[in-house]
Amino acid sequence: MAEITFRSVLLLSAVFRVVLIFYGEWQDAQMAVRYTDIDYFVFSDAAALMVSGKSPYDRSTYRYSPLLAFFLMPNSFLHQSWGKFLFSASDLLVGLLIHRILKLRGVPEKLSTYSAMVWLFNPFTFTIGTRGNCEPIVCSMILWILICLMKDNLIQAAFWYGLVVHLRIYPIIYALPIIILLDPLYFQHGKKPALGKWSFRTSESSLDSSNAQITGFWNFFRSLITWRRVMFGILSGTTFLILTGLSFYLYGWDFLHEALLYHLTRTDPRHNFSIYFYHIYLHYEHEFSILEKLISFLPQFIVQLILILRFAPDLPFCLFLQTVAFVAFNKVITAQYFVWFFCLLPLILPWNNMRLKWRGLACISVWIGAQTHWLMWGYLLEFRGKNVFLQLWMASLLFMAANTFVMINVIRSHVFCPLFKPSSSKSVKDD
Amino acid sequence: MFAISANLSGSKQFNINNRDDISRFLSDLRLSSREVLQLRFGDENSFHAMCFCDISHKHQIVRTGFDLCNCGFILHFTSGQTCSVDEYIAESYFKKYHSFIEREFDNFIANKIPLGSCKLLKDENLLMVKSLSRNVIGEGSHRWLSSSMRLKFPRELKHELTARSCEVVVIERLPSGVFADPFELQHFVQRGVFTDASVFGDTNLELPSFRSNQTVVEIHMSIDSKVPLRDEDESEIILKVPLHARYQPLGHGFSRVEFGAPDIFVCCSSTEQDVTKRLCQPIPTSLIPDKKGSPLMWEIPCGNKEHAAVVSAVTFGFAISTALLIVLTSVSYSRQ
Repeated sequence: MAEITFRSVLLLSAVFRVVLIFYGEWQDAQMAVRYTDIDYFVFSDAAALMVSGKSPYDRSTYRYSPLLAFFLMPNSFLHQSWGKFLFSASDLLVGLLIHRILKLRGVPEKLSTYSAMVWLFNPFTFTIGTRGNCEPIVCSMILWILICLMKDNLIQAAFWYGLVVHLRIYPIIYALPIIILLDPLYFQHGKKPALGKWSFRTSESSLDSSNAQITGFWNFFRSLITWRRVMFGILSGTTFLILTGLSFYLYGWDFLHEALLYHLTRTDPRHNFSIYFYHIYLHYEHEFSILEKLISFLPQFIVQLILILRFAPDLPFCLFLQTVAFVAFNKVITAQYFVWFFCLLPLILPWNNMRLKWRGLACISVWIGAQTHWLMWGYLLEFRGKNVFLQLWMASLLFMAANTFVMINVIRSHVFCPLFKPSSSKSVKDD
Repeated sequence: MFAISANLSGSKQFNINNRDDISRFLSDLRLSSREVLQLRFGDENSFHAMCFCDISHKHQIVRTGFDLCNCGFILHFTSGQTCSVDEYIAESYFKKYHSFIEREFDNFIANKIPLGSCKLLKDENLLMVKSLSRNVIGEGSHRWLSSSMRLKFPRELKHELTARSCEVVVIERLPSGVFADPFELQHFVQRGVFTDASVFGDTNLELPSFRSNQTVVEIHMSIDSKVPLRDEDESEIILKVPLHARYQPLGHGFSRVEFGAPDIFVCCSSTEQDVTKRLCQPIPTSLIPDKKGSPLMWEIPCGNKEHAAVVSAVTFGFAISTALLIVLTSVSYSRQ
């Protein structure tokens, strides 16, 4: 049997995606049900508006940064599939970056390739880019930020971080763990930080960096004021403000309402995976009080905080858990949010003790099963017109339980491996 | 504005300028209960609007005017006239009024479509709709409102109709529980199913129905290919509008949405000496002898108000419990 090299995997994935894009164009033209996502038409229309000098926000339901419409302008004069090729290319880039990150952390070639395949051959992944969804671009930026951090390219990391928060608000939850990660303990003057190696995962001595424990409220905040952390904060904040300010200058309040405020205050009563959807629908006629909004935000806030404080030094693991929790506790969950943590999953697999046989498979089947169960009730409600609101709501509770089940199992079978090692350690540096 | 009443007992001419005149005019009428009041509005030499009122509604008419009547304009094919309308009939309404108020819209359809003064054609020479069959097709939240019509083409006009491009324009007033997706309709226009389509009024696709206004959908469908051959007079046309249900106000089980009658027009454009004119003739649905399928009903599932307390309590309880579980697991995790 031919050896599976990463190169051949990447090539196969690329070819497959190109085929899918062509198939999508055919299906759009021939069949009543279109392959392309509705959002893609929104982007294309907004980009066409931009080409003719108008505001992309004239297109209703365009709720993204004007940068996205800007990059899709070739849809108008080159070919309408330009966007899909761009997104699928970022999709492949994610695979490449996953492989790179794992190699940098010392994971053997075969395991790295298999982990990258978890992303590249995930049916969810290849449909999302070829259908014209913009999430792969965000994922590739997040992974690139990780690489920049690992290589101590702080300025670049900060710039991309500011950009990605401007594009999609959710990466703001990564701010605190990144700040915590930039502990002076890891950085010796003039040298790159030493990366924690995979091969040492079972024999690593207690590297419990004390900075993750709260030794006092004020001490914690004082320790945050270090050169690297402040630099990162200022640079990313400035990038975000410049981009947002420029967009506001060009497109005014439309931009602010559609691209930012909508996502922050979104309460969609229409059915979705979130456990809150029925509660929101039943109370839609009266406004939610501040107290109610705070209460619904509390579980999310507590979970995020504890995850950060416990796992920040092992950054990929922390980011993965945070993203899963963020999506699960969010007021609105749509299927495209899953990509946000699918791109981080391959980064933690080499450090996970779960065997595929029985425990791993249990997690996968529980998660997919709960989702399918929800989809079945959703189908009955939307396409058969049956009143199954209560059952659908219970299905979303079940899906939440499945998410929690997977999270707990992943945490318990994970081998903690900080991204950086304290610079005083005598380990061999990589190049 | 003059009103001429023309019916079995003869015709009378009145000067009507406001509602008081209308009520005075109607209360002066001595008609038997089985007569249909036919009113013609117009100038001295021609009339360009006609209303048919069921005289048993006389008292309501006195109170509310011609809302209960079916009024329409007469299509004139004689050249040299300047009767033309906007591309979208409903557009001029929405340019003036910003939201949809049923009565005003009725009034608009009856009175305000600008037609200028056009000469009259004889009654039998009008394009007629012989039968109208309406239905809501499909299941679930996405259905089709189907209108199937039999058109009768007067022999003399067949030649004229093929010389101009004619289309049937159907204006549906959507009840507030459903909406039409303008982008989906555009896709249909691109695929050639409709010649044109537009949605007016509140087009926010995501609001539940107790927060949004009514909308009006205007669909244009070409009848060029439907003009019957030499010996035939009739032809059938089917128009299907894709509709989607909004989230309904809370209730018990299902929420009922009712569809009223559409406003049907036949519009023809002709180009003479580089000037394109478009004429529209309304086809009052009350005149259609054979009408099937009304009232049309669509039952949409809605949330149950009684669930509110339990759902909220369990939702928050669940969220807090799962959060605690995750917190416990994280805290008890040992890093060795």
